[in-house]
Parts: sequence; structure tokens; C-alpha cells
Amino acid sequence: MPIKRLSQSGLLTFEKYSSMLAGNSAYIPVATGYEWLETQTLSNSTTSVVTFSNLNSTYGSTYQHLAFRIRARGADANTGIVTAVRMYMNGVGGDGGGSSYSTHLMRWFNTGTFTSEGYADAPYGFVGLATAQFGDYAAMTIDLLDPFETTKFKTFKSLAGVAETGGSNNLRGSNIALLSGLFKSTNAVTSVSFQFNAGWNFQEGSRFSMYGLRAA
Amino acid sequence: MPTSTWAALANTTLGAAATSVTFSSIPNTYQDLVLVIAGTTDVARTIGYRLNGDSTANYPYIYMGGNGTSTDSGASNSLTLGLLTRMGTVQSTTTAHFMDYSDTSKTTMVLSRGGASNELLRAHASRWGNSNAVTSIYIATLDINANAFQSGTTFSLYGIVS
Repeated sequence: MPIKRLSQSGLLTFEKYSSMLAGNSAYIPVATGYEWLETQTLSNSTTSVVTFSNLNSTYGSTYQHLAFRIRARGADANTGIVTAVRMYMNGVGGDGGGSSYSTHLMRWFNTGTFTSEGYADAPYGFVGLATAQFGDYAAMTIDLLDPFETTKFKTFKSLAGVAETGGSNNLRGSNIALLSGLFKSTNAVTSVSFQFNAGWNFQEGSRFSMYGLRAA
Repeated sequence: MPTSTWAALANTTLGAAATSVTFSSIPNTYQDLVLVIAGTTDVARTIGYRLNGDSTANYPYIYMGGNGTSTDSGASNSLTLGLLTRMGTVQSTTTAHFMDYSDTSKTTMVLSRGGASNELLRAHASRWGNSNAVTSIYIATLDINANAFQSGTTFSLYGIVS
């Protein structure tokens, strides 16, 4: 094939660009404001506390709020039907006792009455109700507001529930709940932990996803 | 690295009254789906859903709610649709989370909250008793009433990464 000169190529200009953008504007992806940060999916049934750490140092300058989406089930068999899921921050709470939280919930189990509960001074907040091995993975959607503000206490709210199977279980363990809580500290949140109230381990496959929401 | 999520997948705004709305060919590249409904029905209605066209009694549910005068709760495993919300003749809004819709190691659990200001407010949990990935969502009233959804009602579907 004969060599073809550029001058004979049909190009009308010979403009040369020193940048790969070639005269175009750079594409800068626009953050949507709601971003997936981390997920922990358990590969075993020996974990009793799931913690997200280094939150303020990693995300504090970028995000205003955090959100969590969880599917969780207890690893214990027949040790109870339904137990609450705790959330606590900066290692304050869990089994460490204390009264750094207020927490309230409205809930209904498949049996019993539609009721509400409130705890003005508790060692942790409640974000859901879950069942053990015979049940399905409970679902929770949690919002944690202003976790990195040092002028405010931290508030959180949750929608949670699980519809169990029919058949021999006959919906046993099914529950629906609206929950809220207050962490009575103005410290920036550095870690968030989740734990069963009954002390169960989380079952393999339980999934904890964390998201960040940017301020405008 | 943080990943933008809450991706807008599909949106339907009714130009006329409709019996149902279906989202199909849903990609399996997200962890959860979020369905947002804003609009009205011809009269107060209970709204339900079916996944992948499954019309069997495969949707156990539980709910609680209230209308300002009395509370309201129930559970069953005998319906052929999953419970989603209540809508009425005054503008209502509902947000429903289809958790792990693409994870074939789990069944899809649906959490929803919504209601109409002249009706009642409810929170529901329901599940699809099948661990297949969800590829379609069909939304209708519990009795599949003809033209129950009114013109202007919007149905928006979002994908959540994990």
C-alpha cells in the first residue's frame, strides 16, 4: 500500500493538540449525593458485633449523614423467637452499660398486641427486630443524621421488619417496627456497631451496607 | 472508593387511569431496589405487588398502622400479592425497599411505608418466597380493580448499589 501524505488526507486543518482532550472540556462525574461506602457480608456465623470504624477520619469531611441497609439473622437455634438489634456508636454502649441513648419503637409481632416501647436512658439504641435460624433475614433501613457534627446529639431512625414463612412456622417471628434513637453525645461518630440484644451471633450471609449522604 | 448510587432505573407517570403498572427487564446489577409511588386511586385501596409474574400465594406479610383514631395491624400468608401500601383519593406517597432482590442466596424482603392523609398510615414487611433474582415488578390493587390508579400517579424505580 503506498504511503499517503497527511496533506493529501482530506483534512481541512492541521490543528495540533497538546492535550488528549483535544479542545473538549474534561468530564467530571457529578456526585449524586447518596453514595455507597462499605459493605460487610459475613462469611461465618461466629460474629456477634459488626462495626464500621474510622468513620470521622474517612468520611467526616465529605458526608453530612450516614445510612445503613441491613439483612440480618441470628445464628442461634431455638433460643428465642424475636430479639432486638442494637446500634451504638464510638464503642459506647453494647454490653458496656451506660445511659448514653434514648430509644423508642412502635412494633407489632404476629402474636401479641400492637405496642410501643420507650427507654429514656439506655446503653444503646434499637434499630430492628430479628429472628434466629428458622427465620428469614430481617431487613432494616436506618438513617443516622449529622454523625460528624460536634454541636449536636446524634439522631437515628429505622424502618425494620421480617415476614416469615407460612407452613409449619405459621408466620412465627414475623414483625414490623418503626424505631428511633438519640445518642446523647456531641462527639463526632468514629464507629458504628450492631449487635443482637439476646447476645446471638449473626448468621453467615448477614449483610451490613453503609452509605454517605452529602450536604448540598 | 465511594460509589454513587440511587440510580434512576425507570419512571412511569400515568396519562390516564390504569389497572396496573409493570416494571420489567430489571437488571440484576444492584443490591436493592427502591420503588416510590406518588398519586391517587379512585377510592381508598390496598396496593400490592407481584414479582416475576408469580401469582401464587407466595407473599407472607405483616403490617401496622393507624388513622389517628384507631390502630390497625394484620399478618397473613394467603395472598397472591405482597402488601405494599394504602392509597386514597387524596395525594399519597409510598416508599418501598426491595432488599436483596438480586441475591439468589436470600429471598427478597420488602419494607414499605406510606399512606394517604385522608386515609391512614402504614408500615409493611412482606417477602417473596422465592430466591430467584427479581426481573419484573407488577403493581396493582389487591383486588386488581380496573383503572384504580388515577392519571398523574407516578411510579419511580431506583437501584441501590452495595
